[in-house]
Amino acid sequence: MKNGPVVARESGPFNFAEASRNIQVRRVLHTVDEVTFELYGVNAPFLNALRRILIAEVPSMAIEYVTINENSTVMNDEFLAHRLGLVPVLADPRLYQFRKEHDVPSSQNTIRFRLRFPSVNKLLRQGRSRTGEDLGAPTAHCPSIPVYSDNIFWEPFSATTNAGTFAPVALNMDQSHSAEEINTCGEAVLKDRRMQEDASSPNAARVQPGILLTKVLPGQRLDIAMEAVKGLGQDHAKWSPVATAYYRMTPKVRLKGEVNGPAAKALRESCPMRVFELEETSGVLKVAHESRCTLCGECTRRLQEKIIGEDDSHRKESGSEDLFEEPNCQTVYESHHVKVCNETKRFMFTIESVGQYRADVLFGEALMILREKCVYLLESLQGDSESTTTRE
Amino acid sequence: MESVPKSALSDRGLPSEHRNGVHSGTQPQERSVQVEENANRSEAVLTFRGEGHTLGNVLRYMISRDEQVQQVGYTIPHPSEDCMKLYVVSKPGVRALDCVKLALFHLTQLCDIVGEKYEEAFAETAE
Repeated sequence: MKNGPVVARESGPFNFAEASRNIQVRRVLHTVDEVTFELYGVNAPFLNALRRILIAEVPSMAIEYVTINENSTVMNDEFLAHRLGLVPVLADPRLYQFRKEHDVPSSQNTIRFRLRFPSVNKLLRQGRSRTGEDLGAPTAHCPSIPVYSDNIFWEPFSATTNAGTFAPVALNMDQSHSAEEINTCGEAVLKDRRMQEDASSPNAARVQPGILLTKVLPGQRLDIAMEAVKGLGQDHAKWSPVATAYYRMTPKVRLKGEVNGPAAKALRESCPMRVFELEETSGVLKVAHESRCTLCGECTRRLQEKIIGEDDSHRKESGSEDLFEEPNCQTVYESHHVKVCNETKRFMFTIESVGQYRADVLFGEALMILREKCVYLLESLQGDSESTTTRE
Repeated sequence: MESVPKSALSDRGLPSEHRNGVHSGTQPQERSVQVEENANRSEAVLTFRGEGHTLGNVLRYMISRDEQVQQVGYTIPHPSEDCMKLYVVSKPGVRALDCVKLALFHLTQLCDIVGEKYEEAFAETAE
């Protein structure tokens, strides 16, 4: 039996001290909903695991159960339910637990929302009969009214009468209103106000405002109760806390010596990402925005051959020599003038948050999940290390 | 048969219920790991439940960095089966399972280092 290594080793054995010396993180962009950072000294499989965890395994809250009490709009119930599911729920998922199949809904595992359109307040303010016809039958002059996610209100568990069950407010607005009904309506208004007060508290849950849900015509109504639960992106994309999470190797663009004249102009124009610029006084081409490069290779395609009449005498080859000595570089495109490379140990990682988490905490969450996976497996391997099945 | 308009159903005041997700559970999958070894323990096949490419590739990579390992690979035998298999062959005299444990341990260390450096870089508040 041959004992030679069959493993294609991409790098030497892992060493804690060496890794903590080598690994560098540099912040590039840092806003509430987007971060970009540069990582040096880590490898693609590790970053890919983190990227996959960010997309599919970092939990978030999303609307999962939709009870449609009334929907007289043209949009189908199931379409509307699907659209509601995709509205980001701006609540910190770390404050909630997973709701298992037979769990009783509670403030620990569920966020309740309610969408009423037109709102009860509005109907009362108008002081008209609450029949559809009196609100104005749809006519050719009557534009449809957009319903935005701003109309979705949080319905805390404390505000409902029976914890654990829905208590839909009885508002049968299709019939002429009786005294009794006005009373119910008034109660509903009180409840609405109480909810709005609750909604201003710091731990209130809300949804991303400004998302168009559907359009209604005058007289059409919506009354929908929703329950948001905690879930993972691998079940459904609505639970994914990131809009995008990606990494790429840092591009390196190098000019082979000095480029000026028509070749410089042509190269600058060839790049759709405007990586190159001309120095104002001398007209010499320089690489101004290296990180913009998308590795399209247009700059190497445009000038395959030397431009006729180009003065070759003062071309310096020093630039290209430097490049060949650069470590961890992988050439992607090369031409007479330019060389486009990837630096294989330097990565740009970009995370765009949907809104449930601040973007800068997402990466830490992903690291925690990966770490927890390893710890769990280590423990379970430790446990049954003596009781493993042996085969011949 | 005439199709019933959608509004006719909801106008009867019957609330219709919708469950958006396809899967029965919204919580993380059940996880487990099973180990099979040969007689001299230099060869091991680990069968993971509840893990996929996310852990598979990074674990394969970390194991491949170990110089005591001769061969390592992972596979997901069938996409509809929640199962990931990792195959490790170590040099004679070395237990293959220990290489897996070491790689897992190194992976936790790597997470710690990157996490620490990330915290340092992002210590200041967002713009």
